[in-house]
Amino acid sequence: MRKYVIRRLLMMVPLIFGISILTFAILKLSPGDPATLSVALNSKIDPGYITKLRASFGLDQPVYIQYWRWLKGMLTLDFGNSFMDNRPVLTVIGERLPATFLLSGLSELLLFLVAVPLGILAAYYQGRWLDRFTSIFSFVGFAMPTFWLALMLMLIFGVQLGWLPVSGMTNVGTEYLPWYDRLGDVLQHLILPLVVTTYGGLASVSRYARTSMLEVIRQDYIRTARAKGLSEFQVIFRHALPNALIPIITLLGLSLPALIGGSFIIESIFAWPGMGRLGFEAIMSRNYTVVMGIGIISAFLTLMGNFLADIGYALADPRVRYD
Amino acid sequence: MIKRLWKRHPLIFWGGALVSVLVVMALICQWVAPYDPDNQVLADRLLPPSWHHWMGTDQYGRDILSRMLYGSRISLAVGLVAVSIYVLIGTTVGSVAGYYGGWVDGLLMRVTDIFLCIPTFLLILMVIAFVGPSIVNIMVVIGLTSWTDVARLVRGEVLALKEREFIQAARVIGMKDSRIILRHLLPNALGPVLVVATLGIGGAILVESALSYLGLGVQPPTPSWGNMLEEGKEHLTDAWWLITFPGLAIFLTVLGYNLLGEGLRDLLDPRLRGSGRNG
Amino acid sequence: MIRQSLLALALTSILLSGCGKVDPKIYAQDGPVTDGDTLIESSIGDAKTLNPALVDENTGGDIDGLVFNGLLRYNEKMELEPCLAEKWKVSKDGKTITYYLRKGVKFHDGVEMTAEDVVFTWKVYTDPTVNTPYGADYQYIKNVEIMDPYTVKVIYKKAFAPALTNTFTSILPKHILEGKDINHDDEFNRSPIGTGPYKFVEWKSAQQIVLEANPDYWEGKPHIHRFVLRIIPDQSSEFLSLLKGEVDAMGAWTSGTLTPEQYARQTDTPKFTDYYNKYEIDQFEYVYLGWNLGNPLFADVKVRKALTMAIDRQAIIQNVVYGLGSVCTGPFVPQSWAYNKDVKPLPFDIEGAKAILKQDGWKMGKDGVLHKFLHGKDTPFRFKLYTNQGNVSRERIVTIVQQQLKQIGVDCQPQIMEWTTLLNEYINKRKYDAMVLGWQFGPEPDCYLSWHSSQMGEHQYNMVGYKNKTVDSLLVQGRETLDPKKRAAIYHRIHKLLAEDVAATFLYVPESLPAVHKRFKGLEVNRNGIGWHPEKWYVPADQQKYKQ
Repeated sequence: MRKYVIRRLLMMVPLIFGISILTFAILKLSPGDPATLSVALNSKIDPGYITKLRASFGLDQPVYIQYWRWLKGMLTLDFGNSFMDNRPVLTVIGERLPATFLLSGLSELLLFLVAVPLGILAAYYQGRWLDRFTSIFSFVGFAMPTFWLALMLMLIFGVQLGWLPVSGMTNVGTEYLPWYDRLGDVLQHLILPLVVTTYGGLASVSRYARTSMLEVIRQDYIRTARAKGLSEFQVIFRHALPNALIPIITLLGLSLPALIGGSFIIESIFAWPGMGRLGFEAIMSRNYTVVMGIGIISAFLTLMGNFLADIGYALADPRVRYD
Repeated sequence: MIKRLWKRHPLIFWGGALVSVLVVMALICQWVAPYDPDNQVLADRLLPPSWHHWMGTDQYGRDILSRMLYGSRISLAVGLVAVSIYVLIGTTVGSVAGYYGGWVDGLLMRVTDIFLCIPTFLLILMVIAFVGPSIVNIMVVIGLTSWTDVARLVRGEVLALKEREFIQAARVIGMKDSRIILRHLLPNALGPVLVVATLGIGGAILVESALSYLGLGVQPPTPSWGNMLEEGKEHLTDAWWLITFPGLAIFLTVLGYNLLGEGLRDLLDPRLRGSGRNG
Repeated sequence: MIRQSLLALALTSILLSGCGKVDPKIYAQDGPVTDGDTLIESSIGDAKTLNPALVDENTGGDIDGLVFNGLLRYNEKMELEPCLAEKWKVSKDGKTITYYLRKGVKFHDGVEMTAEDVVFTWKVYTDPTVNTPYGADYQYIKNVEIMDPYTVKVIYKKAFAPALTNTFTSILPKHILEGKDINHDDEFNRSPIGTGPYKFVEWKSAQQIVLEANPDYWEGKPHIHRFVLRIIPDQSSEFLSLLKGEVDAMGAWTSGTLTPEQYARQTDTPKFTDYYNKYEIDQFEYVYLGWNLGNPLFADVKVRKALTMAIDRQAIIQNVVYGLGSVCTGPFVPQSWAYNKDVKPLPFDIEGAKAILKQDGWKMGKDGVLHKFLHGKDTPFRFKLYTNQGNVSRERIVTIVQQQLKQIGVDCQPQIMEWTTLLNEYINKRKYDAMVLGWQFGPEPDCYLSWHSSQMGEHQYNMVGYKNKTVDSLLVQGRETLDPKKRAAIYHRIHKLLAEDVAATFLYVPESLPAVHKRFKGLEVNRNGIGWHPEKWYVPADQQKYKQ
């Protein structure tokens, strides 16, 4: 087992390396560079400005040298500077992470607290109205274009009914209020983006849980347990559920990278200052240091998440062996 | 027959119904559309739904119903082509990896991992920035970035079937590897792949609409449901019909494919029948 | 404890939800000038830096307009008036400008502004290691001399008319920035100190920038206590925030604006009219269709005339900006003194356009497109019309123009693409056929960079490739002539020549459409926009919304 762990961890290095090259290549091959976007074709701007900017960013040097400079920095965990405002990439990402964590984190939490039980119950009462209801609910969730939902909710709940705020994370002037008011303010602002973010996920996670539970319930040992005369409670909670939850653990691990991801569309509709906007804007302005920073961190989390999920799987299910 | 389908496999019935409507729309739109979707009648801008224009007009005076009908073509095309591409790639990668094992498997799985690690949407954005927005590019890009699930699925199936007797027999009599894969292994993996593919069509349509919404997808004036949403967004408060109908269309279409896919899954997977509180 | 916090929560929600709890009718009334309240505006993009020497986009520039002062500024009649300089003298040969600085003006940290700061500013803008976008105009300066702590002499190599308006628009503090690496000085660049009416408080990236009134401002303490700029990247969301009262204004002290759709169609509900006022301001901006003059299709001025005649500019104005704009006939805007009112736009005349093209040898082909033998090849009159994605007006124009040109048998294919790609691959490399773009500038009409034949290189601004010797020399003369009457004559001629040559098809001048909550009083609406003299704005005590 230990050898397996070490092997997996070592494998991450070439993978992350490969990802950095892939990302860098795609961005560098795309037309334009960070300096070009700076010029809004404002006629007061000196045309020589771009050349100066390029030189100061090191963009006039051969591509492999630019990559090498970035790589050298990475060895000391220096992700380089954002070309947008010349600040360290880690600082820029760090500013946006809390907002994203809040949204994605709560979303994940909701998913597991609501979707999983829902799915399990649906499996248990298969064919009955609860199952039907959750199925319909899931399908509707899967199929909804999120940005459409976002706009509609904003219009109805934010403007027409006026119940919820429509932009940003906080209201102006709340810095001077006591913490519980500020908390309430942020929570209010969270509601709409949270609903939109979680909605689609609810569908897939509950469906997944349902499938998993269904598979487990068919097994012979469940039938045996019932035949033995165990109470339904014991059958479900001591035998079925723990086994049904194993694949769910995998899902937990796999959703680790989602914690730092965000949807650009939702974030720009609700003016939520998160990673989604950062990623999109960085790609559009060819701000390759930021994109690679996000890519590397995301890749690391994905690999780590996969790894933890596999380990969790092995620990939970004694039949699984990784030699 | 249809009644039996409705009773025993409601998902397939309803899913199939929705999908058929889409396909029919896409096929006959030329003859059924009341107006030319690109014809601007600036004097008839932003008219609400009426007898003349069942879904109203947009800010250029173009009939929305006609644009919706033509837009179904884009959605259908993108869905089918993108999914075909990634099913093809995924199946090839997965079957080769599963069948040959060893370092081939290791290498292919690492490549798969690389693709998995980069957030898909970011990857798609980057590639679109690179190649430029167009219908063809979107289809290809979605195809090139979404094959990993299919690959894993096929690999799993092939791994499971590889050691079975009939495959061993085929090898013994000297059948070529490619023949074994194509004629014996893959057909058995077809079921789950079909399910993933059907569900994938819905997903591809959603991605196309998101990209078009961002202006990185189908270019105006060609109507696509996604770019109709983008154009209609400015009139959220004063011309609701601009975004309601395309949004609904996307929703119903994706719903249709999802129902169909899930229904197929229930049909093909014998493990999921009976034995809960009711069985 | 719980009851107290519940009460606080209730009071807060009442205070914060403003609208709905207060009868909007009181906002229509005036009241005595009172200090206090906060003005919240929204902006689509975040700033990149707040150092005026480095700023190259609107948001940063707008904030700097409130935090910094220049030596001179424009008054309501668009004439130059004193700002940090009490008076100024231009020598007869135009090569020396002497500024007499105001005494007792303090930077936000209390240090007095003197001639040293003016010289320092000049040094920063001409320092080759500083990434300043505005270095060009300072290159004409030979030297800057300090006569005494409040008098500065700026000596130019040649008389340079734009000098007064384009240079020294933000005076930087020498005592803070001297010796620092300007490009990377995050402390100043993200927390600027100037002499303006508002001082910097905080900048939460991607969320908001907060400014506070400068109590020692030399023109008088501003009444509005705080200014907050919220970043809302989506225009529809911006407007919804406005309707909801989370934002007080769009385009009041910054360069935001309602979109023409919003102005024309979405502001007639009580939710808007009870609480907000809207305005129409002429902008210093025009939208044009640029023909790549190097493309054989567009090389002949007659052809360009025909194409222009086939484009119904009034229809475009009606449909793209809902009538909130005016036809443009040259590279200036109607409200500018450089605009030649005698130049009339080419008439919208489809038959006339068809006739011209027919005479030029174009025949209608079976595909509905005109054909002609160019260089021995049968060439259809087909081209790609480029513009950038994300600008709704331009996308609309392209779609409408396509339709209009179809009527004379010209096949125009819209290419709406991402800005970076467009700029890099097509415009800079002059690979485009035609494009729809806009030019933003200030009241100073010098457009040497856009039309002089020496400016056709990559990254330079003469993107259509216009070459005219007469215009070239006029452009140079315009820069070096100081007498306003003579300058006006020169630019009128430039206008006439560019129109006759159809250097580009000038489409229209859009209007800026600000909206402001009714509770703000003391506004003056003039060509500078409504944010002129922000320190004079106030909200009567009973109408104030944000207390703290």
